[in-house]
Amino acid sequence: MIYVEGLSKEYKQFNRASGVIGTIKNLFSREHTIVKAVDNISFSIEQGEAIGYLGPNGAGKSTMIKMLTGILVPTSGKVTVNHLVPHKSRQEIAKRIGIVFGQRSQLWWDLPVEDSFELHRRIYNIQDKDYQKNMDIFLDLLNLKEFITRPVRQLSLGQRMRAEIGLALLHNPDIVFLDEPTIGLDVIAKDNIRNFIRQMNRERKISIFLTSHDMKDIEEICGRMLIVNKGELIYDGTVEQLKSNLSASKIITIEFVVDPGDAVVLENAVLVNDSGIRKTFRIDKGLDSAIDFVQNLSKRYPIKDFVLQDSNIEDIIRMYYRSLEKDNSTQMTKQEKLSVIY
Amino acid sequence: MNIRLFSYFVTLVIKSRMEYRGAFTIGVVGQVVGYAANYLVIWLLLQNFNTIQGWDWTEIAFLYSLNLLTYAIGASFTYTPMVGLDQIIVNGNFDMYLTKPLSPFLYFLANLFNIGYIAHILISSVVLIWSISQADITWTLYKAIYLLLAIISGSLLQAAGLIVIGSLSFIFLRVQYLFSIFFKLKEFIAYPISVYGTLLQIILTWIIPLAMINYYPSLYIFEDSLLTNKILGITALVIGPLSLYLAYRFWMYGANKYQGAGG
Repeated sequence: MIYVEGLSKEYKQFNRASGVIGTIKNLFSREHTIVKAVDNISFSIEQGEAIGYLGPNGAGKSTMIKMLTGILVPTSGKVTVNHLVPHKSRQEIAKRIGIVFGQRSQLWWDLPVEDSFELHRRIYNIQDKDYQKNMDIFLDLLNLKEFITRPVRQLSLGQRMRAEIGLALLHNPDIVFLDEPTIGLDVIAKDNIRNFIRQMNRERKISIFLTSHDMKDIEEICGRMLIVNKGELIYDGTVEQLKSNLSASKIITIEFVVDPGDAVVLENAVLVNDSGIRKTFRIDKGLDSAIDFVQNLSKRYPIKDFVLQDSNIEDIIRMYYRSLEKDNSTQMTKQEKLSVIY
Repeated sequence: MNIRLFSYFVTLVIKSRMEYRGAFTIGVVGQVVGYAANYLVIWLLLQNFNTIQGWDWTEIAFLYSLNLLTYAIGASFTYTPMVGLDQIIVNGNFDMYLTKPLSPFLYFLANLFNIGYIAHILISSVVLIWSISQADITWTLYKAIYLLLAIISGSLLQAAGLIVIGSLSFIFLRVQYLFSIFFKLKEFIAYPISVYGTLLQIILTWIIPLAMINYYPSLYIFEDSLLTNKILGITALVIGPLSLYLAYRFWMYGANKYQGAGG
């Protein structure tokens, strides 16, 4: 279905020198840095699989979606979708995929929602029978009937996103790319959309490629998760696996009477958040060692209060990101520097 | 994209504009009044001079209208998408045009078709027809067909100009000042180019062939004998489709560059 091997995408980023002299210098010579938005990533996705593609801002998630849909041409590596190379057969592939960009709209702002659906029917040449069948389902499941005749500008964000998702699925695509589909929505709207996507995935075997910052989206929809950071793939596996690997860890937030500073001695514990007298630690070896940890600490520093919790998936991801940020501060020097004159 | 789909886009564009009927009406009236004032200025000028380089008021009105009409037709399809392109790229909204099983070029034009040029078309057609009825022209079927083709070719040439400048957005990201230069240049052809020096005439004929839009076709229609070089009359019919094709290729080149093919 989707096959990616050693895929990379590089951008040139021009460095802007500061000050008057720097500005003049920039006119004639500009240094640029090569930024690797996607760096040597490989994976494959089967028909009917739902995967969550996860990473902090700037990790190259959108770039990956753009390469899979043929919007962008990769710098190197192989990619095929439905056995076709996306940027070479972009229009062919466009017939078989649906795309939802959470931050951009495909709907006609001033027109009733149904006009946008009719336009899509014509763009994709959808047979009347299929169109009617899908519309009946969407009107019901996405509850489009309550606003299908209203201009898009009058809809709430949740209604609009339901319409966007219906629109992307109208032509019975094999794969749907969803780039942050629940961004800015309330809990009920999120639930509605998740249920719908899950149902489409289970009943129609539509493959789902989802990026989101909301971990619940991924837990509820996707069986498999890919985590990327700074363009590199750092985790590929099931959501369950990631959780069980780290389920032994506990998160402890301790409120000290006075800030002990950085001098806190950490045995078996990792400092994950430090805001003065409130510090959060992760303990990897189960409940017993967590209790030991608090006892030991309270002997040395007066403790006012503490909260013990299981680490949930969001914390795990957050830790993942944070530990990576530290590694990357040294990586900047590795980037090539070139000077162009023109 | 076929014509039926394109016209459905146009239907949606019109429907959208009609959501703001009042604003649309005011816009149309404003444009008509504005261009009527332009005609008035030329008319007043000719009250003093009677002719400009042998061209009387009706002939100049024809010349001016041919420019305005072809511009309006070309701009209906290309003004909004091309002038807006740099902003669309910067905002990241261009991606959307690469996600449908459609030619990105035609999809882009169709999606941003501008019905507002109906005002220009209205006033320029009225003056054009009036000037034809007033001017001293010996009509033949051949000339009538020539005029029709000249309007089509002129419209394509005007569109091509906007497309070429718009395409530069893919490379420079900001091109608004180039549009200002283009519109300034276009002011030259409000009058017969024979009023200018030889150098400018050569530029307007061969380098930036704006005179092909209205000057040479007008000569051809008014008085064949005035057109010393008959080739120019025929060139005016060919240059429109040709430049549109080249402009289209240039735009596609730019779109490819945007996608990062080898760039």
